[in-house]
Amino acid sequence: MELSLFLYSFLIPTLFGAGLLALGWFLPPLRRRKTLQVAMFGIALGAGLLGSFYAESGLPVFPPPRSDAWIGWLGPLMVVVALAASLLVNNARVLRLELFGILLGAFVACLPLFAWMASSASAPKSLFPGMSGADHAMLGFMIAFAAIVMARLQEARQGTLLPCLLALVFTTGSLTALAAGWITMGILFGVVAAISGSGALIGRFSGASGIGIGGAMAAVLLLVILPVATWCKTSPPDDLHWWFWLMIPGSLLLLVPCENRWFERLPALVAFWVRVVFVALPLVYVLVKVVPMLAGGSSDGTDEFEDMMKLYE
Amino acid sequence: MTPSTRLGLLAAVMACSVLFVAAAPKASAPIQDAEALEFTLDPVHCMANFRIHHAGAGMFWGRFNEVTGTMTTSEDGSVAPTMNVAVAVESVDTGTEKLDRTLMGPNFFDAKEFEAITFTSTGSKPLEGGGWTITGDLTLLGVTREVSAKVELTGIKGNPVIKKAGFEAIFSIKRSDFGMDWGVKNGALGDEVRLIVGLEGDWTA
Repeated sequence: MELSLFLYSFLIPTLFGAGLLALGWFLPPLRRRKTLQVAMFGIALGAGLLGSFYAESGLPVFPPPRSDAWIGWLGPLMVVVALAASLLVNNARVLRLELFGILLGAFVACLPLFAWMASSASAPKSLFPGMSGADHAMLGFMIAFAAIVMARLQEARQGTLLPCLLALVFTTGSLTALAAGWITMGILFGVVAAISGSGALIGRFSGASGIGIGGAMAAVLLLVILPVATWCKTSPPDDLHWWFWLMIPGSLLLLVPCENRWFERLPALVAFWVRVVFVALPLVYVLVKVVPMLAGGSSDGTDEFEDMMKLYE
Repeated sequence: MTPSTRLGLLAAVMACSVLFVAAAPKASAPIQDAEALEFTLDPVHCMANFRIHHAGAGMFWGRFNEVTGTMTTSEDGSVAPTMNVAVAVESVDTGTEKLDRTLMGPNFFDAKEFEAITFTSTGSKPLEGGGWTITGDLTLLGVTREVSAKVELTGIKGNPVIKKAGFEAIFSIKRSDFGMDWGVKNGALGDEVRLIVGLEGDWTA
């Protein structure tokens, strides 16, 4: 990786996001603001993502001329969603969690319509190439479902477990995106992985209660939209199956069966590591398949040469 | 000569004059219009090569294997050609599969969203010593810009029933003008790309 690429697209956005998180979780005046506390992880992820996107492609424009520009809009959207979830669901309790999830899913599914209304195009363009109306509905459903599950998980598992697992999931996503041939997406996944990992450390030493509902909602947007975007926009190798992209974020669902009495009786540290291993298993499977694709894949033309020679035999 | 014979002769002369006048414009039309032949590009013998500065060091070469479209020129190839060419982005070939996937991805040619690179000529100017500078609209990543290319006839051969014509076009473009700017700022890859397109087309009477 070029040094300037590492510096501007990865390191500075990561430090920016992690720095925001450290300020929010360590500084006493900010620590007293409960809304900010439960939104801070999501704000840090969104800021880091936008910073990295800016370094790679500049500021996103609306309506996006190309579908990858939606990824740039994801950063500000995550910040707004993190704050809205903290305010409306957690503090004021104006909205029920389920309704918030459904509204969030519907909003994302309708993004192409908003872009169409702001443009002079004759028909709306799909969010990502090849997506039908049913695909948009499915995307909205997945976001709503993931939002409800993640909100419940962050309530049940406060502390460093979720940021650690998010770091693992995003790291796997980063390597898979690189194997699929999208460098920018590999970097963006890397930035959110590094911020999540920093979040685990910062949370450990600041005593923050966890990613909060704001952080969970922002993470949901990443967990659903980034894999869908990468699948739709790349031409991956044949061995990189579509269900890898389902397994990567879906691995977090393995935390659900861990919420039982047997796990509650285990010592905290043992329960922590068992949960990590549970979630890591499908990720390791994906990595075992994906890492050789990153290393190899070069063709020296031997096969074509052999085929040609057979014609003369 | 009786009056009726005179009238008949006059009518015959007038009729011949009308026929002659009607036929005259056809005979005096410019040669290039009358003999412009449309050649269908032969994808097997057409190729678009590109060259770009890599890491501030070497020149990296790649190619697109699927080039389709049409071109027109006169029977002897002396008239400036017109071109309508489409290059399939998914046919990119660098000899390295992993690199091909990266080039097809959103950082470069974005094959899933923009399936083809197209060029439609709009004008031409002859060059001293042969060849032409052809201007036209190049569409890459959904962005259309006017570009010019140096075009030379590489050959034209055949018979009144079947003909083959070949041209070579050399473009020099800035990829950032089309929104393909990954690696430009950090110097990983150059901005200027040279495209050398070899075209061969077939015409059948």
